Order: sequence, then C-alpha cells, then structure tokens
Amino acid sequence: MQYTTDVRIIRLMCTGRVDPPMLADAFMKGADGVMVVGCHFGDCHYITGNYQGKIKVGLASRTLDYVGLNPRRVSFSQCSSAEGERFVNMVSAFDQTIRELGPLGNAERVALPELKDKLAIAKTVLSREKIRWVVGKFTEFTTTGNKYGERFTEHEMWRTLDTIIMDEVATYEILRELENAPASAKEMAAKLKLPPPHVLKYVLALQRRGFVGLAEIDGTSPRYQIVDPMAKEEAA
Amino acid sequence: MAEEIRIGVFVCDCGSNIAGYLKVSELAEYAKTLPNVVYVKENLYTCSESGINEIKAAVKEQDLNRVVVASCTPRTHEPLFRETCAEGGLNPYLFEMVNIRDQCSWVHMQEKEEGTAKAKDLIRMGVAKASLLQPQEPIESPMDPRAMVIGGGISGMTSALALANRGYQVTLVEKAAELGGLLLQLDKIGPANADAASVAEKHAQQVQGHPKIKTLTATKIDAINGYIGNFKVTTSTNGVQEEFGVGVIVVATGARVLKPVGLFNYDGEKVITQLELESLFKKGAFNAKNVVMIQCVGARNEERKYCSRICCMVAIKNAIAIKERSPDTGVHILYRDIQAYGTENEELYQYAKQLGVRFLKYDQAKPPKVEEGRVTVYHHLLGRDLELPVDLVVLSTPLIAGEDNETISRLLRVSLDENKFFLEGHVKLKPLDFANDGIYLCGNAHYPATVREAISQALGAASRASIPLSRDVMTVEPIVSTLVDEDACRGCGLCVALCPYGALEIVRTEKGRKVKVIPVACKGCGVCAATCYQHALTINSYTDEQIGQQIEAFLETGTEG
Amino acid sequence: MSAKRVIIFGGDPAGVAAALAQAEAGMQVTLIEPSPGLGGERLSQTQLVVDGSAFVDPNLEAVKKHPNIRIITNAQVEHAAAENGSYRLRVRRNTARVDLEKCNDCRACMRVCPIHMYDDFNEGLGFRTAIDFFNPETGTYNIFKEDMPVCQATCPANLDIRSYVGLIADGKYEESLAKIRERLPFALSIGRVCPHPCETACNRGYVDEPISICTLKRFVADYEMNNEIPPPVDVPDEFHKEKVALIGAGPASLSCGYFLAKAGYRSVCFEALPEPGGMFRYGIPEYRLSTPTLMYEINWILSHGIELRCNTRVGKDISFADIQKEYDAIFIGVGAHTGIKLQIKGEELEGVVDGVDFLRDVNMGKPVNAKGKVIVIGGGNVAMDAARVSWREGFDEVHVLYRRTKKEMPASPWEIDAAEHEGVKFQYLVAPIEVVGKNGKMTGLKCLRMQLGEPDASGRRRPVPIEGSEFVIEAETLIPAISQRPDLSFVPEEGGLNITRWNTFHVDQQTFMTNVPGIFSAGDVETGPDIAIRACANGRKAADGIIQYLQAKGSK
Repeated sequence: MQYTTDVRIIRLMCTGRVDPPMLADAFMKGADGVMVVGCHFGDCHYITGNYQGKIKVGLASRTLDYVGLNPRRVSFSQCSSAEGERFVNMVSAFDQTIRELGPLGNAERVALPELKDKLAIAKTVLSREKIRWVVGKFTEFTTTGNKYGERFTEHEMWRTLDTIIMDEVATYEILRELENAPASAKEMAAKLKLPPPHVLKYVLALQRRGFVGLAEIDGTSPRYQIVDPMAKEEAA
Repeated sequence: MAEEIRIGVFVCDCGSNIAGYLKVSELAEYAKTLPNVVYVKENLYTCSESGINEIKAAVKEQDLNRVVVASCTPRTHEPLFRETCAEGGLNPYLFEMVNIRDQCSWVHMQEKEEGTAKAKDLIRMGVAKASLLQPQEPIESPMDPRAMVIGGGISGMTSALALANRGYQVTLVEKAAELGGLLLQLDKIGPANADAASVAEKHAQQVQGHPKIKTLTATKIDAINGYIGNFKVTTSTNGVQEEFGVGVIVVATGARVLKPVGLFNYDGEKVITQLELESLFKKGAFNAKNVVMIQCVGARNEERKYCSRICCMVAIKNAIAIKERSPDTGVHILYRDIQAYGTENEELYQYAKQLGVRFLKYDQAKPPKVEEGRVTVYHHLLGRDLELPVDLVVLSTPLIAGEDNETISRLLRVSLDENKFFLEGHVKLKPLDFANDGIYLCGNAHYPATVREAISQALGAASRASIPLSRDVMTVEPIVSTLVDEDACRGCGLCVALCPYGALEIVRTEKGRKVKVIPVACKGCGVCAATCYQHALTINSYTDEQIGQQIEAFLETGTEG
Repeated sequence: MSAKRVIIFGGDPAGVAAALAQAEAGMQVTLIEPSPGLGGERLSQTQLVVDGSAFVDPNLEAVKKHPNIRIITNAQVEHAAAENGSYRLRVRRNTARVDLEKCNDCRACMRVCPIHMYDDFNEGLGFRTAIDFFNPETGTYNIFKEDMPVCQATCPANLDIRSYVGLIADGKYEESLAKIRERLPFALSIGRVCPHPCETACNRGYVDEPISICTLKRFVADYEMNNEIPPPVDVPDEFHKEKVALIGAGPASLSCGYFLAKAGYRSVCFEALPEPGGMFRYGIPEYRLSTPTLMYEINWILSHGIELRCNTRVGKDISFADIQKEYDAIFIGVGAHTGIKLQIKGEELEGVVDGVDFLRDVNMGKPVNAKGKVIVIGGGNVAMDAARVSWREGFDEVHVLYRRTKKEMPASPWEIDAAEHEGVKFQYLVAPIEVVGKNGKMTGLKCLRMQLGEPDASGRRRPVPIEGSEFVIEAETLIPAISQRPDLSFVPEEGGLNITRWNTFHVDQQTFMTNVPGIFSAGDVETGPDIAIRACANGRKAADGIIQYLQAKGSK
C-alpha cells in the first residue's frame, strides 16, 4: 500500500468539525486540492457528524465554485479505519485528478492573483452568519421541517443556498471595495464585472441595513461609503 | 505576559520501521530550525523506557512547555506520551503527535527523499499546532453509583443481579405486574431443555430477595433527564410518582411476538403460533396427528426485512418436543432458509431430521396455502405442488420491537434502527453500549436473541455499566466543545439541534439565553463549532486557529510542488 | 346611547389624522390597516427632512394611546354590507408571524433571512428580506409570506408542485408520489391527460421553458406501477358508522370517496355504466389514457373502502329517495355526459352522433360504421378527441369545422397540432346550418362561411356570417362536439334541489353542499364541462364538506 507523497493529513475528530472557511483558507494558502475523508454514512463514530460534514463540504465547494475555483479540487469521500486499500485508491484517484488539473489557477475560470482575492471573499462569506445560519438549518428543514411544518427538499435547500452564495459574494465584494475608498455603483460594477443595477440593489440593501451611507455626490452619481463600524469589521 | 514557547521535538526511529525509509537525522536537524523549537532528540524507540525517560528529563532540564513526538499513530501511543508529559510535570494536553510512520515511512517506502520531505512538512505542521496548544484539565463529574435496569425479563433480571452482586444499588423497572417477560410464555428452553418458567421464577426470586435490588413492577417511566453519572428518573406506579437518581441505565425492554393476524388463515386454534404451541405443551393439551410449521411468517418481507433469527431453532426445538411426545405425529417444517448456528443447534437440527421431522424449502414468491385439513406447498425440486395433510398448522412469527421502544428512545435520546429495535453505538466496537455514554442495552431490545444470548449480553452490559459505576468521579478527556465567547453566543439553539449527543443546552444567564456545554456528554466531534455563525464555540485542541496554523505551516514554504 | 362608531380604512398619516379627529369628536373609531404597522410608506421620507435622526409622527403615538380608537393592523376587509343605515364588515386578520412582545429590534433576523425580494416599499429599487420591519421608525417586524407559488396557485387542486418536483430532483420518488396523493389520488391518470395550466404559469418559462410538471407526475406514478411497488393504502383502523352515497364513479366521486375513506368514512358508489371511471373511462380515448392503467389506479382507490355498484342507474335501478333514506350524505358527481344539440335542421337524421356519445361507444368497444367522410364540429378538446378517434377508427376523411380561427380554438394547442399532424383536416370560419339527407340518412352538411367581427363577452371575436356563402360538404357522419351538460333527470323534482339554467347544481363553494342539507355535488355536474383535475380537486373539497357535515350532525 503506497500512495503519493504529495498529500498531508490534518487530523480532526470528525468530518463534522470541518468548517467551510477552512477549505477556502487551504486554497488561499496555496493548496491544489482538499480531500475530506470521514466515516461511512450510518457507521459514523459520531453518529451523524458525517452528514453535517457532507453538507458543509458541499456548501464550501459550491461557494468556491461560484468564485471561480474548479470544484473537482474538493472531494468528500468515505472510508473506514479498516479500509486501508480503499483509502489508498481514493488518495491516488484524487491525486490523479489534481495532476490533470495542474496547480491552482491552471484549470480555473479566474486567473491566479485575482483568484486569491476571490477565495478570500469566499472565506469571508463562509464565516458569516447568514450562510452559516441557513446551512445550520439544512438538516432540520429537510427532515422535521420548519416552524410551520413545511419540509423542504434538499434540492430546494441547495437552490436557496446558491442564491445566498450569489448575494453574499456580491455584498462582501462591494463592502471590500468600499473599505478601500468611497465609490459609486457604476465604478464598483465596472470593477466587479457585475451589472450596475445589481450593484445598486446590493448597495441599497446594505444602506437599508445601515452599513453603507452616502459619501458625496459626484456630478450626478452618488458615492457610497461604509458608515457602520460593525460593517467595517464584517468587511475585514 | 505571554510565556515563551519552548518546544521539544522527539523523532523516533522505531528501530528500522521509520529510520529504514526516512532520513531521520535529517528530520531532527530540520526540526531544530523550526520556530520555538529549543530541543530536538532522535530516539531509537521513543516509546521505550529510555525514550520516555528522555522526554521526562528534557521537560525538566530544558524547561519545555510543549512536546512534539514524531513517531507512529496516536491511536496507540498518544495516551502513553500524554502520561509521560504529565509525569514530567507538563500538562498532558500540551503534547502533539506527528505520525511519520503510518503517513510517511510505511506508505512511501520507495521514495526516501520525498518521504523525508513530507515528514519535514508534517513535523512543521505539528510544531505549528503545538505552539498554540492550551493546557486542559480533565473534566470531572461526580458519579452516582446506582443503576437502573429497564425491563424485568431474563436480560433485565440477569443484568440487575450482576450489578447488584458487584455491590451496586439497582432499581429494576418493569411495566408488567410480574417479573419474567417472554419466558413466562415459553415451555422449554433449548438446547438443554430447561423449564422456562422455573428459570424465570428462579431469577425472579433472586431479584426480589436481593438486598441491593429495588424492584418496581407495574411501573412506567415518565421522564429521564441528565447524563452519565447523573440521571434523574421519574417513574409512576399505579399513579404514584417516584423520583430517583442513577448513574447508569441498562435498557432490557425485550420484544414482542408478532401475532400473524390475516396470514395463513391464522385463527389461534387450528392455525397457531409457536408461542401458542408451547402453551399447549404446558397445558398438556397437545394432540395432533399431522403438524405443519411454516417459517418466516411476516418476516424477511417488504414490511419486515430482517430475520428474527431465533424462530428456526424454536421450530426445531418444538418439532423435537412433538416427536418425543408422540413419535407417530408427522411434522413438516416449511422453511425459506434455516438458521442453526453453533454446534448444539446444528446437532439439534440433525437430531430432528433423525427423528423424522421433514424439512421442505418453499419459495417466498409461491408461499404455502393453508386450507381446511391440508397445506399445499410448491416443491421446487419436484417442480409441482405437494399436498400435506394437517390438523395443526404452527406459524413461526418473528419477534418485533417492543411497543414502548419509541417512547423510551425519546426519553433517553438514543436511536432506534429501521425496525424500531434499539441501535447500539457501534456494531463492532460498542455492541452493548449506546452512542450516549452511561446507557447500555442487551437482549431482545437490541435484536431477537436466544435466552443464552440474552444472558451473555446482559452480563456484558452489566460489566460495561460497572466500569463507570466503579469510579467515584467520571473523568472525561477534555477534548470537548467549549463556549469561548459567551458574549457572542445569542442562544439561538442552532448547535443544540445538531448535537448528536444532546451535550448542549440553552440556559438562561444574566446575559440572556446562552448555550451551555455538558462536557461529560460531549464527545468533541465539532459539529457545533463548525456550525456556530458567531464562532462562539470551539473544540479544545482543535480550534480554528490551531487547524488554520497547520494549514498555514503546510503551505508556507512549500518544500515541494 | 353609545357613541357613534366610525371605521377608517388606511393607517397612513392622513388616516391617522382622521382617526384622531373623529375620536376627539367623541366617536368610537376603528382603524383598519392592511400592512403590519401604521404610518404608511411615506413616513421614512421624513428622514429627508430631518437628516440622520429618526422622526416619528407625533400623531402615531397619540393614535395608539387614544382610548376611543381601536387599531386593527395586518388585516383586510373581506366583505361589507349596508343594513338599516349602518354597515357590517367582515375583517380578516393576517397571521402575525413575529411576536412583537418578545422582539427587541436586534435585526439579527433580517441579517440571516435567506429570502430576498424586491423591496416593494421602495418601488423595487433595493432588496428586502422576507422578514422585515414595516418601516424603520415603527419597527413593526413581520414575515411577509407570499401566496402559493404560481404553479400551485394555478393548479385547481393546488398540488404542492414545488415539493414533489423537488423530491424527484432528490431522487425520492415514493415520497414525491405520497406528496401528490395528499391532494390528488389520480396521479397516473392526471399525469397523462391534464392540460397542465401549471406549466403555462411556470416562471421558468420566462427563462427557457416551463418545468414539465405534468410529465414528472406521470413519471413518479409510472415508476411505482412499473416497479410493482404496492401503493400505500392508508386508512384508519376503524371506520365511522356513517355511510355516504356517491352517485357516479368519475374523477370527482372517486376523489371524494378516497378522501372520505382516509378520514374514516365508508362510501358506496353507484355507477350507471358497466365500468367506473366516468369521463376518464368513457370520454378520454384509449391512446391518451389506457384502460388497464386507469383501472390499476381506480382499483387502488376503491381498496380504501369504497364499495362500487356498476350498472346501477339512479332513478332507474334505485331511486334517489331510497338513497336519501339509506345514507347519511349524498355526493352527486355524475359529470356532464349529454351533448348540446346544434339546434339546426336535420339533426335527427341517421349518421349524426354526438361527440361524447361517440367517444363513449368507441371506449365501450361498440362497432362504429366508419365509412366515408366524417365531420366534427367544435373547437374544444372533446372535438379534438372525437376527430383523432374517428381517424383511428378508419374514416376516409376527417374534417373539423370551427366557426372562428385556429387562434380562438379552446382545445390545447398540442392536441390541435397532433390532429393536424395525423391528417385531420381543419376548416375554420365555417358554421353548420342544416344537415341534409335522403331516406332518413344524412348525406351532407350545409354550411356557411363566417368572418370575425367585434369581440364578444368571452373576449373572443364574434363570428359573423357572410351572406350567400352557403355550401354543402358531403359526408355520411356528423359528430357535433360543441359542449356538454349534465343529465339531471334522475333528481326528483320534489327533492327541492336548485338547478341552474345550465342544468348544473348551485353549491356553496366552501363546502360544496347544495341547497339541500346533506347533498353535495362537484365535478362537471357542478362546474359544467371542465378539466379533470378540477373535478378531482372539487371532489376533495366536497369530501371535506361532507366530513364537516357528518361531524356536526353526529355531535348533535
């Protein structure tokens, strides 16, 4: 049983401990692939921890995919402590995948220096309360249902999470821009390659939440700035 | 303020196990260059007496406040090295282990250079994490040395007696008016042909006469709160409520026999169950010339996919009983597969054949037809229907989960399997324990079992239960969830809903609703820490910072692509 | 003498001011506001006047404290009636989804709410979340729950489409089917024949094309049937003692019986024809819904505890009065099986056979004299079925005559296209005026060409005859399929049942009870000819009505 020397193992108690920002963090720091390996479903030492792990890794990979990472760089696999052979096969197969993809940035939609910025945004999004709250409710909403007894399908939950990823990424990109200097919606739209009306909507929503305010009016276009110190903290 | 971090790294040769495949001295030299590392030592065997003494000495002499051992797997050796640190005067949780044997020398035998480079990375990662380790104190919680056994059948009584004989106070709770359970309805117990009723009675007398056992019959359980060492139980007997504390709980609630209503013209007279056949034996009312037994009635089908396992032997036992009573009576056993595991059972199976019991295999798709005076069954070798004359049909029905299982599983917060039997913590590693500490199971509550199996399981469960009972204080590894930022916690309960162990609860504090960790119940899986959107919870020795440092250390220099 | 009472609609600043004025004048004022908080949308604009600081209209505080004013927010007026110089109003309060007593305005809910919607208080300029304060000053939080999704709202049965399609996406087919069966027992049949208004409404249509909701339903139902998974029969262990008579064994009656059985009420179903199914069996051609498939589904429905008595025509084989005596409630779901006459000369000639009669005969396996040319008159789905069945029966030519153009045809477009594709000939802007014949047999149809004039009450342009454009189409068979109405001849006159001028029953739309207590009706017999899923939907609602009725009767 021999496998590639390119893999480093970080021990966690359970895949349930995998916090989505950790994956973003690993890619930000230069990993080319991340494997999360846990117990088989139904045979988890921590009962249901691996189900949570799967949801969290799924969320991380969707978010990273959205910001430009090739999602094949993230894998969630299962293997018991008695399945050495299986582990070796899994690691070798994943190694092969990563070799095909090449180093980070090679098989991505976004090129490298920019990709790191995007990954940083993804890490922020994954650490923030909105997405964590909803993903934390995933199991409850798909099994026992919400307060009104409505049960959602996994499909619906993922769709909801996908739209949150979209909103949150845009929101934190805007906050990061405003962190640097006050800017107008048009300027940010050009920089973030988003349609200006969308940027305006996100800015207005931020304004409504009290994070962003008017800085100045430059000709006909208003420039916005961060007004709430809490928002600065969020953007950081 | 901040103490100076002084890390000692011990690199193990493991004889040639590691040194044969990696350049260990190079590793040791490399470790010296790492930040905060003040002492490095290469050992032939770090786990040997001399290796251990070197660690202890180095902790004292070099004033080490973190120890990293790069050797084999923490699964076997972490406890030893932790203890070594403690003996050397260092908090055992300031120790980190790097596995360069399983993860390097064993799996990269042909790649000495790359393997050594990887080992360097792993040591660097271990050192990085070690710098952030915090001392932890073992979690202690007082142990209530009393036990409760739920269920007064053979499993429950055996378990209660075993615990009581070890000197622990036991409360045995039985919902029926008398002790004995399913045994009371049986005739003889195979393979030794013991009389079931007298076995039950003997046990019941012992239980009732035992000074350490308090028996509560006709009693139901209303509430169970708490955790290992500190359960609070509320029971009611004929409307009278009683409350008591126990440290451990054994679940021995047994099972029920399926009544095959609507199957094979079951009527309780001409077509009866094995249980009813046994009561005929007991009454001495058995007289039939031709008996047909049908196996797997209502079992191993769409509704109940499982095999009840014991019915084959019950049928064989009863067929022998018939043959021994009246050798002229014809006995056919129509089966789908026969379970006769173990030497005695196989002997009984052969003995039954010798006595003239005929075994006929039937196909689930073409089940036998029971009519007045005859049973028609398709013989798959002959390829046609056989007609068997019959004046008594006996149906072997499976044991099904007790009707209270769902209530009890809710009270105890333990899991049931798909057939509503209780689910053990792990098939192989914890067969008599629940996933939650301090709760054990045995007998039919888990899965249909013979009396023999029920007794061995009961003794096993009692033995498991007496491990915590024997301690005054429960000591648990402190690698558990902690609320590091109470102000951040909003008491939303998101983590509480996801905790597999019920180890979190929301309490009212002066600062409002906050989560509280019950460390004795926590196993440290980390789901809560990975879920908390306020990052208020973390896991000792697996904090976000420590894991982040490991990632950082891996990728910072990049010894290879 | 109590004070005069005044109601003021609208809690914007003007409404608030008016309420205060009236209350000061000694009136008892009730202020009704549809949104969760007073103040109106305009209030936040006051911020423009006093920059930075929260500005609250002093009237708002005053109106809340005034002893003579009762405020009802988050409520709509449903019904208003004037009587004897006063008004009576029925007000419906929306569910309050936030406990304002406990809310301490931390806004954490808004930060985590996953649902983003256009901010309708701000002309859709920004986003707001589903949980939201009404306006920042009053801080009245509420969850704004929209109505059902459009597909569900459009579906007559209000099937939970989002869930069952989502469950299919998750690969949970059996759960998906169970979800459908919560509101509709006929998944197999409806999955085949429904004209699926839900898909027309589906929002996905704006992006590319609608979700294939109908076929997905068929898929899960077929999955169960083809994999021989036994469909669950979920009825209570014990049935109530009351019994219900179902007249007719069509989609409405069987749906009604199914939901009655699930609630623990047994029913007996009287069917005049030899087999159950109603229009499913005798109106819908075999190629759209095969009889074995239909029977598979009906047998499952009957197994819930519905006794079926076929070949039993009420009024002939058993009298309506007997049924009334014997059963605790009656459900009439006889459908609409009588074709409406063309009201033209020569309609009695041999060779003229009504559309529904024709389809029924074919479905019963009666031989059809399929020779020569056949003319089908009408533009609905029954006409399309008749035309396509005729073509299959072997007529040499099949002509469909319709008095308007293809655009106005009420039949489903895919049915028209399929008919055209198969070889059915369409003649638009043609109306029949006389059946011509010889020796009692029809030989042709005299028609008149039309042109479109002004739109009529239905919004479609009214066809106007072109003078002198008469012509004759030679044909041996004529199938009028213009519409159907129920045959209510079995209902005794002395029973006192109100019958509308369309020969349908008038029922209460909540309970589906007719004017006679204990007699319920739904399906085509109540709506007139309509799609099958509406009959199923109303059959279910009628079952609820019957259950309520029986429970009320039992508790007396």
